[in-house]
Amino acid sequence: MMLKVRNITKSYGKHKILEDISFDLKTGESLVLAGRSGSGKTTLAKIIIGLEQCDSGEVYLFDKKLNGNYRKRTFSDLARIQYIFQDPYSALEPNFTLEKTLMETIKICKRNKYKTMEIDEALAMVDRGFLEQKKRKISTFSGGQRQKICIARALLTYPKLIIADEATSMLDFDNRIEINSLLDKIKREFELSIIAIVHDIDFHNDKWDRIAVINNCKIVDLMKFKDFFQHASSDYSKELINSHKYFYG
Amino acid sequence: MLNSFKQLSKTKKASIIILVVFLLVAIFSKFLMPYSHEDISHSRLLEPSKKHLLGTDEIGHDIFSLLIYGFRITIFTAIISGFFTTLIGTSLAYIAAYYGRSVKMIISEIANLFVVVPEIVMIMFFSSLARPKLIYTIMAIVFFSWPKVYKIALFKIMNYMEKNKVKYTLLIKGNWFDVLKKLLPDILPLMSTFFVLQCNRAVMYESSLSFFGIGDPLKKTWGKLIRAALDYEDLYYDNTFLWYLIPPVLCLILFVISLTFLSSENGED
Amino acid sequence: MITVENLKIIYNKKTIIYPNIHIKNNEFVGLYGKSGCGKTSLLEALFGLDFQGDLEYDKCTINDVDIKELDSRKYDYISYCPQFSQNAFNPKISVTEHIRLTLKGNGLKYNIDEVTALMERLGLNSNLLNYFPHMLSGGQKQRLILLMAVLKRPKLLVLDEPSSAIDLITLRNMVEFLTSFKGKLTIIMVAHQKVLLEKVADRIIIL
Repeated sequence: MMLKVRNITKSYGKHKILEDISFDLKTGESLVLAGRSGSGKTTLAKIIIGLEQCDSGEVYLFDKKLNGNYRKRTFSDLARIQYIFQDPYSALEPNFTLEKTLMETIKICKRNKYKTMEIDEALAMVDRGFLEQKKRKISTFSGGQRQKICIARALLTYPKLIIADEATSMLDFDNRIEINSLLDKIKREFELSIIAIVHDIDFHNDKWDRIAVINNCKIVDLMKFKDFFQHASSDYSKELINSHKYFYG
Repeated sequence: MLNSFKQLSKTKKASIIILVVFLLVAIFSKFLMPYSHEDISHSRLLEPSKKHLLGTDEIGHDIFSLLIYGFRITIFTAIISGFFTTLIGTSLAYIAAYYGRSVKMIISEIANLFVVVPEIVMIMFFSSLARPKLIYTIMAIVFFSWPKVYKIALFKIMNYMEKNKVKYTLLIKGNWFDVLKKLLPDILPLMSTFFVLQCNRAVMYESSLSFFGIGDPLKKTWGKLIRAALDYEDLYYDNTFLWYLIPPVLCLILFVISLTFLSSENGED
Repeated sequence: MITVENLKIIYNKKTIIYPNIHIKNNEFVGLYGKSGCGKTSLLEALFGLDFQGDLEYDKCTINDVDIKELDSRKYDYISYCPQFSQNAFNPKISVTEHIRLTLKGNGLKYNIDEVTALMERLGLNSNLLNYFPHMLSGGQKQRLILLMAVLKRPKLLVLDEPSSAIDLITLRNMVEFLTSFKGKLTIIMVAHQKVLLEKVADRIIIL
């Protein structure tokens, strides 16, 4: 089992965000996390990557318990989980060129004697057009393009898990479809797992394997994505399905 | 760069022009001084004339030469003090922000010690104890000014380190240099603001020290010139003060005001 | 209400040419387009303060007044919510204070019944009135922005991507809320989800 999340509980002061969250994720499987904004999805993602610490609970990567604080994790643990931020404008340094952005990762990996993908291979995977644009500054790229660059950067370390935290929220509709299909493509090509936090799920067209719905601090539904419409049981899930039908039919 | 100059407010444009002129005078002071600042061979207490544009003082110096020399020394003191205060304050702030925990705590506690005491008192105290050389004055100013820069820089840098691009670098175990490369576009403007502010303060500290007779008597800053003028008992006879006292005062005021306007926010426009 | 003919906006070294736009009173118009096509520039030029770009046009009026002659008094009858308005909350004051200040700035009285009624229609619990902004979720903030925009009884409501970061349930809420205002005031909404605009607008202009 690639990822095991066990009994994660987290509160901010008296305000409880997550209670007893547990789920598994296999290699090459994609999981979409659904729930209201503020429901703790991002907090859960940050706990898995180690940017935040939970009050109790554990995260296991290939049966190895991960330290709650990313600073105390080994380089290998950090390299195997990559995080795609919501805002592509703040995730990259605008003054760097495309090449320099990716070289940063390569240099640090070399320093830690960690094998990386070739820059060209990562760029070709996300957008062949980038191969001729390596000398362009990041500030000249659009939001959708920057997000693709973030994905290319994430691929460099041959990760086993990519967490995409609202990766498409700040992009327009066409970019959203492009990014989601790109994530599906790399999932299949590299057999990596994906946890995607998405607030506007398209139940007709999205291609996730499984879905977990978080409401009132708990996971209320966890099942195959294609079964959701038929078998979702929680009240929140049903309301979500109704709203979806309202817009998409 | 010319375009961004054009976009500045009128006061900032004027300030920059004044400061550039002052800097040029300071750099070319050797050529602008008609006589050496140490030359006391002239007749004493002469009124302004073609030979002595600002007359001479009671010892025999040409006041105009003294004033030009004052440009060099005062501005030099300001720039050196401002530069090192900014460098030390910002560097320590980055180190504290990057390493966090105990490192940050130790440096912050040291900085806090300095915050309580007004720097001018400390600077005067230590300067009067030390041998009267300019380098010690500068060291005193830097030593007691860096904590203020440190505190603000620390706050700002800690904010910058919360940015996603920095988080990425930290998540792949980037070292302090990797993170610094990403923060440089944000830190450099910060440092230039501090630099202007600290130059301003350094000038004012040095002038205050000179007013109290503390500091290197051989390095005659405008402050020293003002002190010398005020020490001359017959300053207000025959309007001597007009060419002895007023010029260095004007230069000082103009310098300080230009620096102040340069470092202020664009409120007026 | 709004007439735009042969408008060209030059901003950040880019020139964008717009189609002619005529919006009648009390119409609900959706604006749709890819990112970078100039939707936000158009809104900023028409409804914002201190737009930095250059405008060239044959005609460009709001309520028959040329936009170059409009100043901040246009906000007497326009509610303009730029993108990411939900980040504009003052972290030091409560929700009630925000509403009070909005009403005070527009010379209107604070009517607690009206406010709670609107909150209910938006699916917001009235105890949120005592909350501070950091305690609110993104969806709640977005709906409160809409509430305050509507509360000042504008003749024209302009929304730039009000739906960008909220879930489908909240979005439906907002759509039903806006639909209830159809025909009562002019509404312009920019969105990048066509389904949303199709659901709610009288017509859609594609940029």
